[in-house]
Amino acid sequence: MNNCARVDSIFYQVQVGDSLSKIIRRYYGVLPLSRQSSIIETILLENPEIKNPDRIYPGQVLLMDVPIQYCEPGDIHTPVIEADNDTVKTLKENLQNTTPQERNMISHLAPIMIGTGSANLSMIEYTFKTNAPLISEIAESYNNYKNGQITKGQYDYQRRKNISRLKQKLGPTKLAINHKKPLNEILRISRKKTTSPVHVLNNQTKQMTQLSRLAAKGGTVLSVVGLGVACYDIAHTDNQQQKNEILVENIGSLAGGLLYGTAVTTALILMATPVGWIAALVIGAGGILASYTAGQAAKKLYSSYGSTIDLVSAAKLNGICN
Amino acid sequence: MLDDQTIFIVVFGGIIVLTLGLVILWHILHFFLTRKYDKLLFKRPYFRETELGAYTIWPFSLMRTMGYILLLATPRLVKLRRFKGVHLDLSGTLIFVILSRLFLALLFIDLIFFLVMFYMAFMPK
Repeated sequence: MNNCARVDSIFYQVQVGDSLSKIIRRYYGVLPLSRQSSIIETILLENPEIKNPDRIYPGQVLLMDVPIQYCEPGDIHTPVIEADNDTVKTLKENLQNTTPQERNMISHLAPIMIGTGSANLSMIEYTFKTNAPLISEIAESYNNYKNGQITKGQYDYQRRKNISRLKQKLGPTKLAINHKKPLNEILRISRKKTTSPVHVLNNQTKQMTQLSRLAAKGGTVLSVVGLGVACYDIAHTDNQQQKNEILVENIGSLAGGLLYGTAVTTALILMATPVGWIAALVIGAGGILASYTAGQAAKKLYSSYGSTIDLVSAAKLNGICN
Repeated sequence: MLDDQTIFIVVFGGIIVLTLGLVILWHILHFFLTRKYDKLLFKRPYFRETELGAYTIWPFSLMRTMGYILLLATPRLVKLRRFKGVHLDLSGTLIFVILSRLFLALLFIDLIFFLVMFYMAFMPK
């Protein structure tokens, strides 16, 4: 046990047979009871979902401070993760909502996820996550209308406005939630007496959130949706040069992601070393960067060398995407 | 000297063809190699418990194929850590050895094409 007062925060996955005191002993060594109680209090503060310190269960994720391992005198240490950081708290909540099996998969997911165009996946995840509240707003304004807080005209206006914004923001990805029906048909108030009037809206919000989670975890299929987004952009751009740039950028980005994924897989298999979630995130971030940079490079290459070639027309993409 | 159009077609087209080729070849090898080597190699100690679980589902399963590809193409390198002490009977597998080496060669050439693209894109003409 070192006497260094400085700490790092970690995510600890509770194992079978663990108790808080056992976990603390693992990181801090044997401590006086008062010190142990104070650490338990800190853990409870950082993990408000634990109501009873004697009841933690295997697979649960704890955010906890641990002493840094090697601590030279005068060494300036900047913690990688700080427990009071909001992003860390959100990350912890997300981890808490996954099963231990899913967490184990994270290390394997990263390279594959990137290999299939994670830049697009991140974009879709972002699109769904940021737009799900628009649907909730419709439900909320309906409730306000029913409570007499707003008029029917105000509610109709709010609904139309949100649906229009949603249409614009989701682009082709709206196919994932509305199965080709117009959004205003999907996002409606239920007239069934047996269900809550806003249950359809709530279901759609839930569906979008789940899709966002799916996209965040990576899915090969969604990279195809990513290409669909490119197609959408091509269809909605008037300038032929820009259309070609969008096409080249997306293909370059996908190819860059695939190559990165293949190269990382090769390295991981050669190294035969387990990849922790931080390494997985670093690999993931590298993939996004590789994918993005490859897309930009392809676009620049096209502008500098190939701008006279009309790839979109040659591939008849105008017709297909429209 | 090559004109600009030809340079673009060679570099960008090369990248597309090579990357697609890699993906297709990876799947072809996956089809044959998993049938041939899973019983022999897809177990402890060559793969960890989590890998044994994860690498059974596509696309994760392609990662175990990568292990076999490397074993056939560069046995010395991969035996350093992953497949320590494995002795394979390579009779009748010449085609797979060639394809595995071709896969790594494509990967290497594709990387070079990407580097060329980056150089050409970000360096002044």
